[in-house]
Amino acid sequence: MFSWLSDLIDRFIDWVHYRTGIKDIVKEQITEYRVPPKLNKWYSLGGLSLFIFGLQLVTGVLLLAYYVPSTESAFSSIQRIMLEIPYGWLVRLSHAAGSHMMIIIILLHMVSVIFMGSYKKPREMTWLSGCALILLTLAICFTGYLLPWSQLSYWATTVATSIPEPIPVIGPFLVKLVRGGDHINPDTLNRFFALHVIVIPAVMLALVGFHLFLVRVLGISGSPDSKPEDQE
Amino acid sequence: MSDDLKSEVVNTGTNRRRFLQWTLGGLLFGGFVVAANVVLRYLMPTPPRLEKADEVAIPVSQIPPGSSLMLKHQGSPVLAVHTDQGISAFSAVCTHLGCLVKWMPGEKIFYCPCHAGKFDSTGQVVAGPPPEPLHPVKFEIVDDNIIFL
Ligand code: FES
Repeated sequence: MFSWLSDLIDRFIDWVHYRTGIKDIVKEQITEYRVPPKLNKWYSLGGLSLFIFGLQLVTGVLLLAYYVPSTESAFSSIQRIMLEIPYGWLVRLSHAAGSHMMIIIILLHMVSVIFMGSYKKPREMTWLSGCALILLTLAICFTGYLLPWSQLSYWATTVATSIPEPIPVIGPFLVKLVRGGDHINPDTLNRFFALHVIVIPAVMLALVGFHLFLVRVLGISGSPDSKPEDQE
Repeated sequence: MSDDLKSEVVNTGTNRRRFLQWTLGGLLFGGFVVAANVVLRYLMPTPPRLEKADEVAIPVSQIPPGSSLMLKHQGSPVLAVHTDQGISAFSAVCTHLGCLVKWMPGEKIFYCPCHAGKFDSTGQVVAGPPPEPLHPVKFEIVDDNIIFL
């Protein structure tokens, strides 16, 4: 019925293949990629967190279309997104719910890696880059929480940024460094905004790339269910 | 098994695969269309709240001296009063927690029933928790009509 469409798609793919070798890449990396036997659903969590990360990038860019990072307008721009812009509530709440889901799924991913022993030699660097990624995820959630500039986010950030205060000698210095002053002030909003929308996401993208590169180079670690001879 | 039957079995298998491919493709395409609709409508500029036709104009005679009138302007409540100083108009939203204030003709004050905030006829706070004066609303009087801007 749609054979003309299939033909068109095939011809396009052939055109791209001739110039990039895409079919071989897809065959080696996806359709005929060899994985260890007896993979279970815990193996899906890494891919799932990547999917949510992508969703956060998309909804985050959409929010940037209306959010204004200044102490005068931040809150009213959020109100506008929630009340006036069509589907604004969906975009913003997806971004908020996605941040929670990302933490939960990454934690489950870590737990499965620990219990299946997948962090062991030679996969230490994959594990360490994953550890850096969860810290960055927490940091991006933390910096994002201040951006609505509501009472809740103001005081939550006040409390959280005062955590390093009791550290001897450098504590008060650290607090001042994070806040850009003695208290949360307009400069704090600006630096959190910069961290939230460009610095942390850029570093995370690079680390995700490195993490996935290592997974491909070293192969997927076998499931503890599989017998030793399966591993060969 | 005859050759005929065999080839039919093979054919059924191929058709099932094609069916699944098209179904999956269709579902993905449908999902894409729904998501694209959300994104496009989100990015379209929204029309401004107030069109020219919605302009509020009321005859001055509707607010005789000493009385007040509550009306809706640009989607929010406005309270117009006629005192000895003439006509004035304020947003009826209390600057404390957003209840609606009302005009008390006897005491010549705006009174907020929620936490007993009181404002004088110029909108200044005279008692209670409100942190700032009532927000004035601009208007013009043209041909005995009050036109809210
Ligand atoms: S809301 Fe008006 S006094 Fe509290």
